[in-house]
Amino acid sequence: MNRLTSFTLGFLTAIGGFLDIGDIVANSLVGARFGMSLAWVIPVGVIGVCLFSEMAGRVTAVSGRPVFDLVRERLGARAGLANLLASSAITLLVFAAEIGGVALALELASSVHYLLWVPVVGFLVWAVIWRLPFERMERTYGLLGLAMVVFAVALWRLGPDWGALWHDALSPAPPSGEDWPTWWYYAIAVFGAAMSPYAVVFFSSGGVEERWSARDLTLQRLNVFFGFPLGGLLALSLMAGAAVLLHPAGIQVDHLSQATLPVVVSLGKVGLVIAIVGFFACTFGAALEAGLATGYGVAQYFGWSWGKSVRPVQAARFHTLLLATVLAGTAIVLTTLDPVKVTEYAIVLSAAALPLTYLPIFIVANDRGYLGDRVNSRFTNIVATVYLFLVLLVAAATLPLMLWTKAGQ
Amino acid sequence: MNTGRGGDDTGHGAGPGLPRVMRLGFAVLDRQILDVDGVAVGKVDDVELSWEEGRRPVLSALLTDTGALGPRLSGRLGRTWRTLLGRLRPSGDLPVRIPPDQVHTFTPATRLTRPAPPQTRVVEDWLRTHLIERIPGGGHADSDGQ
Repeated sequence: MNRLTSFTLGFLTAIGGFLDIGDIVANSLVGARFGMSLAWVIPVGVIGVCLFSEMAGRVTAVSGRPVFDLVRERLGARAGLANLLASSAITLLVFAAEIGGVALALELASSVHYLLWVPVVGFLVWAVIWRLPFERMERTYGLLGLAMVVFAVALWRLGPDWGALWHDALSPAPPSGEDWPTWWYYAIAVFGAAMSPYAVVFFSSGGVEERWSARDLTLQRLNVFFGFPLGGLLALSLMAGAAVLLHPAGIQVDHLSQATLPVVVSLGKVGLVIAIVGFFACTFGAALEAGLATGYGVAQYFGWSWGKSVRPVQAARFHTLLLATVLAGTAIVLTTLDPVKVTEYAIVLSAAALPLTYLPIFIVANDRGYLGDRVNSRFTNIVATVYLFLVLLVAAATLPLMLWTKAGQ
Repeated sequence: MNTGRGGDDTGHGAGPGLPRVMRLGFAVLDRQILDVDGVAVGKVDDVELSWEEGRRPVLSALLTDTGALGPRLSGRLGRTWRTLLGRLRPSGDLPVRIPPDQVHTFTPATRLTRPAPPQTRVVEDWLRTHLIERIPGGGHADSDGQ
């Protein structure tokens, strides 16, 4: 019974925790602008994140080592440091985007301008990191995030022509009026939103915090292989809702309120309330994950004591760094940069940074010195090699596409 | 006796009781250091090799703290790192040395036979007494059923 409960909880947490501000913005925006023509990217991203998380989780459970510990050990001091600086900068950007997302959700609920909410959100994020136990923190926001199911209900209530949606999803080409480079640029955005590196760093460090052992592997795999694809379905329903309602009307998503339109139209005020709760939970949970991921990465690289399971006074450098991260992230949003734009850049750059963490994990997942007989199977290696080429291709294409399309304009 | 520093890839005689061949670059450098109580001390940021003329070099100390990392980073990143840390630390401050006879095991993590040298905790201690300890709740662990 206990195992069943913990499976159910972990599984639901994985669904709710899958979505963050990047998924909300990217999928709504892409649905509104490109219909369902980019829907195929979601399964590609979901398979990628399952594969990446499973490898990172297995490495952590068997060897007890989180991502940036291994990055330093396997890439050496110099390449490891360059990797750390790039990854931390992008994770900080993601963190800022999530803070902005929480503030926007609170603006939707209260009609108080989001900038007034930003310092409050920054403080709340820090307070939760400081005080709330790790497991309760993860569960609370993961379970609340299930409110996003309202987008699937809304899609069903909108009663779309499912055949036409399916047909659109099977014709991967830009709709009239859009060009190929822009279409590919947004494909990278959807991919980066689904397969985000900070989430994997958080996931594997969380495994150390929760002291996973080889015994926890099965449970952890079930959560990943069932929870993430269902989270992916929610991402798909965000995109489909926007494709059904906003795409024909020519409405662009440049504010979070437009992302709620499918829910408002089909379910009214009650739907809106649930959607706002979902937005809040997803973005707040992701803000905690991204903030902690920054601290985890740096502390693991330099070998400081880290984690929420030790008392803050025993991890003073780690907690000082977290405090600095929260201040920096809050400061970025307070510059009045548009949070939706920050999100777009954050997810695209995350996609470009994927090889930095993916490659070391892939290498270690094949090393018997760390994993004994739990190294990658032949099948995993074939899929993981395909994804290695994919993430390298994405990394190489991102900046040229960003410049060429003026970041998707 | 000369002393030299740098990440040599191979080395022999890595301390008493360990007469086997081990690759310093792989098994020693950049590994996590834990003290006798399992508390994280830092990383093996560099190693110190000593030798007498005509003899093989011997691993005489592990060096740790971010200052020791400086000389191992080449290029622009390394220069920036060294300049930055040079400004942040008192001049004449040397990296912390840990003699190999204080090491219990090298892999997967470097375990020491005694508590961490106090110099490795200077920044940690300063931040604790000046910042973290003063925030309410700093002394509570988050798990253990609280």
